[in-house]
Amino acid sequence: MTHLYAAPLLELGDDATVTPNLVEAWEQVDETTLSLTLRDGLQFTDGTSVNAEAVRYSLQRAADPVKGASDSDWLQGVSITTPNARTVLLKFPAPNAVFLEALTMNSPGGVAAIVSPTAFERLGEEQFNQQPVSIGPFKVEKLEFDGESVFVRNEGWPFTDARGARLPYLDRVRVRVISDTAVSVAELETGGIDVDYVFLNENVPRVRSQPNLDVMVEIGALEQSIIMNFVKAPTNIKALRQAICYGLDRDEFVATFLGDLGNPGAGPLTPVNRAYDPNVPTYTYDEGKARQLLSQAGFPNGLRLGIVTYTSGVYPKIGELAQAQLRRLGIDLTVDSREATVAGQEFRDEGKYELYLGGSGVPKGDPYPYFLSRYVGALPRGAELPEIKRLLDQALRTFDVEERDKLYSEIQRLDFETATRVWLMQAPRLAAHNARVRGIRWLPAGSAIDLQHAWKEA
Amino acid sequence: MTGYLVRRLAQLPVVALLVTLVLFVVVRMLPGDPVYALIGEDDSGLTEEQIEARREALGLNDPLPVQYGRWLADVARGDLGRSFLYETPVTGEILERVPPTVQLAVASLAVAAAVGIPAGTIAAVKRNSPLDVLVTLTAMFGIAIPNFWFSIMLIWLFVVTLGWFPASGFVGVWEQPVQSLRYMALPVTALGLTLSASIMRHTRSSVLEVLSQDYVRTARAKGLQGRTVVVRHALRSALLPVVTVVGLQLGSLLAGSVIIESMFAIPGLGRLAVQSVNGRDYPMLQGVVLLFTISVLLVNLLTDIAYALLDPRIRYS
Repeated sequence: MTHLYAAPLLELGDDATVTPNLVEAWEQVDETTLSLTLRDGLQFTDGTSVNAEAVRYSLQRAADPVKGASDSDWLQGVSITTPNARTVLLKFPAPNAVFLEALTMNSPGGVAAIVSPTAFERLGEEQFNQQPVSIGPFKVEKLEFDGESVFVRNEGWPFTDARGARLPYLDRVRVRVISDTAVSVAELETGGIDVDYVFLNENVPRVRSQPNLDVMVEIGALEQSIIMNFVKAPTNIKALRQAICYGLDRDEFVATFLGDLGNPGAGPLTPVNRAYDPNVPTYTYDEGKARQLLSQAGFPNGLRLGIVTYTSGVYPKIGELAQAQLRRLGIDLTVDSREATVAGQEFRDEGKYELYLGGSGVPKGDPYPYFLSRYVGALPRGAELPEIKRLLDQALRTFDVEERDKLYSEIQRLDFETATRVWLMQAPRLAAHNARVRGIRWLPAGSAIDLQHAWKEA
Repeated sequence: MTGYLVRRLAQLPVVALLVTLVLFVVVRMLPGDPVYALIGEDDSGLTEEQIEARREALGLNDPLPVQYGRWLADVARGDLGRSFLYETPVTGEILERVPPTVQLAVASLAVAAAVGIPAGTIAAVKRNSPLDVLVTLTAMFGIAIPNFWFSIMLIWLFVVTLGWFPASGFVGVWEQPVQSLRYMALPVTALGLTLSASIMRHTRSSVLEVLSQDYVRTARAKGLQGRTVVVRHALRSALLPVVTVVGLQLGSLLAGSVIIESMFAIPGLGRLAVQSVNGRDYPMLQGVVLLFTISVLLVNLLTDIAYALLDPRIRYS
């Protein structure tokens, strides 16, 4: 919900390039200095000015390693000065070529969420979290993280559409938390809600069959994959990992779980990302090759492996299909389902399983944070991919986008070579909505729906 | 009676203390790290140092006895701690969630009693008739079916097919009474009808037992009408054990509210409990379960007292 009432300093355009928002201009003064120029006349919803000092205050708040933003690490050691009311100067301890894009992310808890210092000091952190004061297309009327939140149009929002009409079009947005998908679909069908944001593949045919409803699909916005513990026997044997990569038939996974809503996994990125490289080699189903590699790994008669996945959604079923497919190679796969937190902990920290089945969003913009999470953060304890880490460090120092994308291509190639993950499916991000609701779109940064240009036909 | 009451009241803090200990240990035994639950499993870009700093800030690095002692001292002062998830005081968050749960529980209990007692009585009076079989089978069905399935069936029928009620949400009965009734209709039906099954069965047994008593036979012999015998003589005695059953339904009500509130998006204590478990929000979960426990203890005590007051033959010593 953050994007409704707390606009980021910058935006990511549909072509995944950084575009102005609250910040109207920026300059990379040198490799470690970034200058931001704020739009003139901006006001928080409490009437105070959105000036350089407010940005400095917000960034310093976001830098708190405990209470700050999830990517607060990027602000450590950064000196922030305000030469004038509209200019913010950031001095980094080391080059950071992707920081600018971090300013397009305001949720969840991204560094770009700007707060009114006056309101924050007046209300205190606790009350402020319940009644946040920021600047965005809407302002908070009621905020309930587990109930109904209401946002009303921010009359002070200065942006207009191409025809010069004031944005946003909607007067009011109600956001409700409905945890059961069957109930949310019932609400959508009966007009209780206009947009169902957390929407499952299995409900698509039902919604599509109704002329008054529509589905928004973005194929490749999610990936579903199996990570292999490459520091634990026997999956520390590369030939075994490759055998598993060749032994899983991604087409069957797509046909079973996604139909026309997805594609076979082909690597860490999907075509939604600007750095996706279609020329990088990928694993495709080849049972003969899989058997050969299995023998090469020392398991001609198969072996037993364990995989852990989430209890939620379709994951247990995906695990079962993987189990059935690997059985053809003589691999006896035990599938265990756990809550997401527990699954990660048991795989990554406790090393209980050789394989982990999960999924996550694929960014449209710079894939650095995504790669960092995949190849550094989410690895099993004691595991390292030094070559990829080196390339990521290099990417952080590379300001030329094309050069940086070449490094990302190299990372995709290394992903194939190291065979630490089976990229199963390029899955869709889905939202169902009343067909009379127009102008909604996925925000290019993050996974939220942009309602700034939305309206509802009478 | 007074001595009994004093003893029971004196036992309450001891039981509550034991409950806090068991609760604290059980909650800590849940697999899953609260810090990972907070930051999200897959999208975390946090370093080990940041994760450690967050763990330290939440007080999770202290030895368990220290954590327990600190929490207990806070509870003794009426402070249930701060929520990991919401970063707000647990007490305030719980107090906000009490009205929806109370509204759901009271209405469901009323429905359960309104359906269960007459149906059980009719089944007893018409013993071994097709009506008795029907009521008994319905009761068994009510006990056997899961709440969530029944809820989905109600939504399918009354929301999707007939369009009579909203599928989810909550409005306070004091804010908009009519709207509130519309929103509560399905959750109350789902919870109330499943609870009524148990009341129905107990009422039937109790009425059957009373109908065979001498004083009922005497009433009939005096020429009183069947309905008068049942309502004025038999039912008044038969309902005494049912009072206990209704009181003891609180536990089932709270358990049912966990599912019903999640299904119907009612921002009550049950839903809060589910979120606290999912988010490994230890302070919130401890607060909610402690409140549930104390509520059940108090209602059990009140039920015992009510039973003694209603039935002069009962003597506590």
